[in-house]
Amino acid sequence: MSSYLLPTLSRKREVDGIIRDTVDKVLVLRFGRCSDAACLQLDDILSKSSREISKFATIALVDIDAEEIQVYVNYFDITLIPSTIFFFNAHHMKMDSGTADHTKWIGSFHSKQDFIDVVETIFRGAMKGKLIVSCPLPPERIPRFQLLFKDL
Amino acid sequence: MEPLKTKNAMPMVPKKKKEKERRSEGEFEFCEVCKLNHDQGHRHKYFSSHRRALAASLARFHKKLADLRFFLCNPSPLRPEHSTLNRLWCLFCAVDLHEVSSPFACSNAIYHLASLEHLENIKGFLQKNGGGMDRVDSFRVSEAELLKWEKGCELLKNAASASSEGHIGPSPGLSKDIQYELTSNKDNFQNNSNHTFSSTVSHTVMPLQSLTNEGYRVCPLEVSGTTGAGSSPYVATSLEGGLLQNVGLQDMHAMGNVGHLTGNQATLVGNKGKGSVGLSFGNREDQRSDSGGDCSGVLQTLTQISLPSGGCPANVHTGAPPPWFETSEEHEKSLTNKGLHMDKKLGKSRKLNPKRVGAAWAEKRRIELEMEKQGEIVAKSWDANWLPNFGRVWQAGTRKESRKEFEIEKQKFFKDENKSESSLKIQPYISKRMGKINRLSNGRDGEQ
Repeated sequence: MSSYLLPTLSRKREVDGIIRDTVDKVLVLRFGRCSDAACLQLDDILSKSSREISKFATIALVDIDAEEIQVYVNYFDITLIPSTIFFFNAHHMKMDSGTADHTKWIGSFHSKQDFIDVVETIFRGAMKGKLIVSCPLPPERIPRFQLLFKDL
Repeated sequence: MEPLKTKNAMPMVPKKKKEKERRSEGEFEFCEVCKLNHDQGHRHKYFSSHRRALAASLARFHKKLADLRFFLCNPSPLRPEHSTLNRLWCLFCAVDLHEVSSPFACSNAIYHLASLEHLENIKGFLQKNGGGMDRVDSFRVSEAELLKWEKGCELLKNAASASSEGHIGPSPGLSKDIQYELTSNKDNFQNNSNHTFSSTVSHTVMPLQSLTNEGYRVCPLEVSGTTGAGSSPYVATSLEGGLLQNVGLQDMHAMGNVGHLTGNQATLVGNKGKGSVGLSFGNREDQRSDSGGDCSGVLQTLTQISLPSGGCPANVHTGAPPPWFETSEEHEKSLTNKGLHMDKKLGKSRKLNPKRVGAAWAEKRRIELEMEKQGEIVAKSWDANWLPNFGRVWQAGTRKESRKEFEIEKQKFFKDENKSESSLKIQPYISKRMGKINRLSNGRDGEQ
């Protein structure tokens, strides 16, 4: 349902375009599948908060099953879904949330406010010139996962 | 002998406090003022962002209290249709104060602000968020003020009970046009138990007899019990005039006290914009009556202003444009130019931080997008293999290096794929025995 409210990208040039055309705003790219349960929960939160953060952030969904998107799946080292990657002025923004992977947010959020806090922290850090920010959420609200190197 | 004090004999209380502080610094808490989760502990209240947010919320609360203080100084009855509008959110107690069944405006809010619980909550809030303990009294109602307000309310009640003749006042459920329905509904007024307000005027309720504007006066029609004897009736020749009259009446009754009609529109609860009484009605000069003494018997405190002697000036009712629209073309041009300059200036003042991430790229891209919109340049066709700089998970080094590594990996992957495709030829399985037999037979054929 929420995939109707947010743009869903399935081609590489669409992803390239949105990365290049989002200027002075945080770009939130959710990589996942619209049929997955965790993705659905995250999509619900994203669609509900998209209007509130529209002044400083843009949200888009990327379908990982699309053929052209596989290059991004490999480039961004996406092994778990949903994975959310943040960009600012075509620069990748990292976030240290105490997990093994600082390059993306893996999993969903507990509430809309948590997501808004994360995006706001990224925006504030980006406006100050920081490429990596620390997560404002308490550790119990950050989803845990195990990162394996090439399935080893 | 005095007992020896060992080095390890530390007092327990400060240790616990230090431990608590350490624990609290690491834990996240939610700041109600900033609406933010933070792990800064007690230090958060000294941060400039928190102070700004606190100042803004306290200023907003002050504004609302300013309206409430008006009602505190001038107690007035509350109509049930306005009770839903008369609400207040108490910032310190986190409580919504409704006035659903209260007889006077803001009575629940006033009692709450005078309560001890509210005072304690103010102190707790200011201690927690650092607002300055000297401002406690500005957020509450003192006992003296409360007593004064209660006395005012009692006087109002007494005045209401004393006025028992005839028209007590229109009930809110009836039509707003009381001038014509006053006589017919007289009995209903008396029987109706929903009298929510009363007029301080002890005699019967009368329509608005004169306006603040000298050019137009509404004199009441012949209604039984009114004291408008000797005044010429108003002939409503236009629908607008009739509406005006009714609007004026509504205004007066909403106030409950005609003495407040000196332009203090802020006190109208739910009647904002409707109670504009001061209109210039230059073409009604013929209907001015000199019975001002009788008509304005109640409105003696109002000052009359004189209309400009320009004949019949254009106004809202004649359909003329407002004066601020009457500008020459040059003036308009200068305005537009000024607007452009202002936009540029504002654009400069709203300049984003030049040290932000990707600032140079953003400026360049913004210019390109604007030029593309205007059609000056054709949209650039980007390389299909373009990739953004990305700090990969398993690569070390800079982002450019990780991107180059990925591109090298991709090329290798494609090469390997091509090789494997070319070398792949599906052949039937031939066992070793069959292979030997085939070679022997081939050898014999060759000899022969």
